Amino acid sequence: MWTYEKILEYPVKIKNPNPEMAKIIITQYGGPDGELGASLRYLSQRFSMITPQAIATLNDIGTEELAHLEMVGAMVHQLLKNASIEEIEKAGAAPYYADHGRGVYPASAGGVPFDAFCLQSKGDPIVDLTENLAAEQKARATYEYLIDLADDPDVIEPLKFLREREVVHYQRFGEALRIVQDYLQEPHLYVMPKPGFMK
Amino acid sequence: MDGEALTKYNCCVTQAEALKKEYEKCYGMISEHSSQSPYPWQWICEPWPWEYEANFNLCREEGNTCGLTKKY
Repeated sequence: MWTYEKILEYPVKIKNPNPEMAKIIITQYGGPDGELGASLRYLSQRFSMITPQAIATLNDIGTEELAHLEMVGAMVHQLLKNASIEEIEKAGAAPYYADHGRGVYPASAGGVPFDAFCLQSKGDPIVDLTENLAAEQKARATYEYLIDLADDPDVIEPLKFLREREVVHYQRFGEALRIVQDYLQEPHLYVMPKPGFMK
Repeated sequence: MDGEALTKYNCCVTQAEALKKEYEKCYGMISEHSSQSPYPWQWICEPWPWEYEANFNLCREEGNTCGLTKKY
């Protein structure tokens, strides 16, 4: 089970509304390499993972991704909250506004709603951990593109924090993959003394 | 097993517990289950974490017992 802590993992405090930025940051909420997909990917893969270290890594990072989902949602919310209709129209966010108003809906920057096709849970520990290494790199690259597109320090700082966490998660999944590979290579035939009557 | 890392972990847990208590004194409950609430029930009184009004800037000012100030 989970319990909730009424605090963000890293503060989000954006003074100036910016629907244009909201429209693209939403991709880390419900896009192909976003936090919703990440949390569902890891939390689903746990059930068939092997070795306590790799299971704990999925459990821990899957949980942290939910905290990141909340941070990204907070950014989109604050960027949209006080935006005027004119600003929304000018930013090209009118189609989003028509469907979701100033709400937060899991979709990509291109407006494609969240789809579980962006993640995999294969029941094979090597497949899943290798996927996760790629997923963390894809998320890191996305955060770098978002930072390229942002000019407000209030937006850039939380994005930088989220990017750093992708780098850390990549390291942790690399360690988990090594532990699982070592475990699979260990001999699992246990030697026992031969009883006298077999000699 | 890395004993030094484990000692650091345990030390951080103790520090975090104390800091959470200090935070809650100024800004209200962090947990709905394990935080104490003054009267009346506080959980829904303070802003939610995704709101601009939450995420206070932390700074030290004279005469501030907590060392923390709400800044909007």
